[in-house]
Amino acid sequence: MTRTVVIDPVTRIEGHAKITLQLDEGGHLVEARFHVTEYRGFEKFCEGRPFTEMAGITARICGICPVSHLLAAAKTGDKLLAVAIPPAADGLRRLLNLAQLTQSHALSFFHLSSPDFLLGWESDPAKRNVFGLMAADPELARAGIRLRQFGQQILERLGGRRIHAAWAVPGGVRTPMDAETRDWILARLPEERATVERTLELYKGLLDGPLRREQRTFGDFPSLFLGLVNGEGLWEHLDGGPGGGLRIRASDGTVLADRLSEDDYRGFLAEAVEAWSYLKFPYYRLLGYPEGMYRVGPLARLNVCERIGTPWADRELAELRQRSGSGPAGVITSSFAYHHARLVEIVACLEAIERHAADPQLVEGRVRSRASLNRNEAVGVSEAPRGTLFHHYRVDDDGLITAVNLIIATGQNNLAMNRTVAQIAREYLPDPVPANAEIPEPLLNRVEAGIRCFDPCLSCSTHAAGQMPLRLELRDAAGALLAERSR
Amino acid sequence: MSDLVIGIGNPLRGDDGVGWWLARRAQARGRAPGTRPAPMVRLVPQLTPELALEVATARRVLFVDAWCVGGAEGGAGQNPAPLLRPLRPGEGGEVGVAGGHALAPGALLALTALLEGTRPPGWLLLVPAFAFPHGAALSADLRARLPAARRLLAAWLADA
Repeated sequence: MTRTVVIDPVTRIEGHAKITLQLDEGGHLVEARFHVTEYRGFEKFCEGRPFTEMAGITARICGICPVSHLLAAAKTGDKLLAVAIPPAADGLRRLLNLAQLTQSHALSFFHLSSPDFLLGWESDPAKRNVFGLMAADPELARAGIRLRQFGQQILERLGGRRIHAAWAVPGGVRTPMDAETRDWILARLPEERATVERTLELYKGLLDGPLRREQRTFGDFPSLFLGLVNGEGLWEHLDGGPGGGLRIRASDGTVLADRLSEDDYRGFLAEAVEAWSYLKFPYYRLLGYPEGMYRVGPLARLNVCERIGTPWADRELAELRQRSGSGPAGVITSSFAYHHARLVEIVACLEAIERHAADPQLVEGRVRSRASLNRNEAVGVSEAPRGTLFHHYRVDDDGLITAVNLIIATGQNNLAMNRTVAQIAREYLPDPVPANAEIPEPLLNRVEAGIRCFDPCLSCSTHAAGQMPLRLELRDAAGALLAERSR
Repeated sequence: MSDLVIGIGNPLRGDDGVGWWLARRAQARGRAPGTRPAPMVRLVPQLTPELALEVATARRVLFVDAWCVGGAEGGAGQNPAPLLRPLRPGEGGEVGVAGGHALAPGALLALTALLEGTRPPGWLLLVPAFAFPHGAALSADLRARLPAARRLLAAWLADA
């Protein structure tokens, strides 16, 4: 008898999803499927709208990382106008994205994932959350919330509104930074540095102890990695500039493709579709599907770059590679290392925020290039907290959108998330699974935690208050419910 | 101290935007002569932990949100109406945390108490929501209930 274990929906990720573990007749795990059952439909919705509205519209796809869509839309708009944005505007956009990465990574690490690390997989699920964290380590919980607030307040101060501020526009940004904001950022940075320093120390201690097994079993497999690098091969989050672009590196350290332009994304990326999920399955075209599986996001960005380019972040990256990487390039293959990578990226962000905040041209410089429509098609790219984000627009001569394609980071990690869940299930499920087996809470949480490594953001476009309970079902091949667990 | 009005939802998903719609009305009211300071207004897709730091500075907090007709909240009935009610102490203190990046209103207040040692009184203004298509338009069913929702909002703002 073929049986299916279903976790529906996944908790502590954005959107609605479920996980199915498919067992064969002998009770052995065959495969894992991470289903996305909510259709977002924003691409169709955008048709007929002026391209200048795309930043404001697409930013509403997600309440957690609106800035990512804002920047990708603005960059696509730059290309439709065929303008080079002023240097100050580039610096301001970078500052915005760095703040976005900081706040998003802080939310992921401190509020969603650290309860698992600090309270333990076997702890009461009712307390394994930010409240439990407050009770166990109030200083850390509070510091994490303030770190998140730091990033959010930069977004608000720059954009005038915390969420969905259409401050980045085709041609640049609307306003420069005011001196008060600069001073506020610089004054707050020491506190945030201290928070990250303490957290890194704590987390490394956990990696040396209770988290050893998770590093080995949470999605540790070879794959490709994709991300932006600059012209010197350094860490990049917005625009590679001259000589830079997208890079694809394999787990053995080989750079398979370099200086790729987003304009040619259809030449090196393709998207497969599966009937059981609304999330598409992008892959590296030259290796085919599914062999062309690649990962994006903080771990991928740190794997594709040579180094970050700032002192503290480079030290932390070197230690991360020494701890978890292999081969001459120190490529890290465990998906569990996404958590550590987020902390290293926060370090990189704080160092870069300081540099940009101290740049006088961000307060005084020209911030917008103006032009009318000069092209009918463009592709923009940015590095969102969860990975590389592509916006592709076609417009008519009036600038109205005729076609949109969005390739989001979570989709690009889709194949890797399925692989991760399967590996965790094989490690923690009994083999074969007895017909009357109960699924213990710690196992459920590990499967979910495997997904959370990627911090997926599926859709929070309709939040529907009071939803997102967790339900686990065990069904046979005919769909009959064998067992159920909920919380 | 000011009152804080938090509008929750997505203004590009039909009736889910009613929280923002009403919170903006609270913002537009401003401060009448001789009255308390104008309310602070936040428009958010969901409640996140750092909001606790702001909630702690408020005299009272009103969460304005859509609720799905047919759900548990409000008692749907045949003719569901907007609902204003106080959040009970401890209500939702931990429920909703599992919901991801988002916290339930009661959970945010509980987090505020833990973080800042203070918990301003909280209220919920819930408006029946019927449709969540892409677009900013509110459904006719919801629009028919907006006058009642606005009266509840005005009553809360006027209640010093």
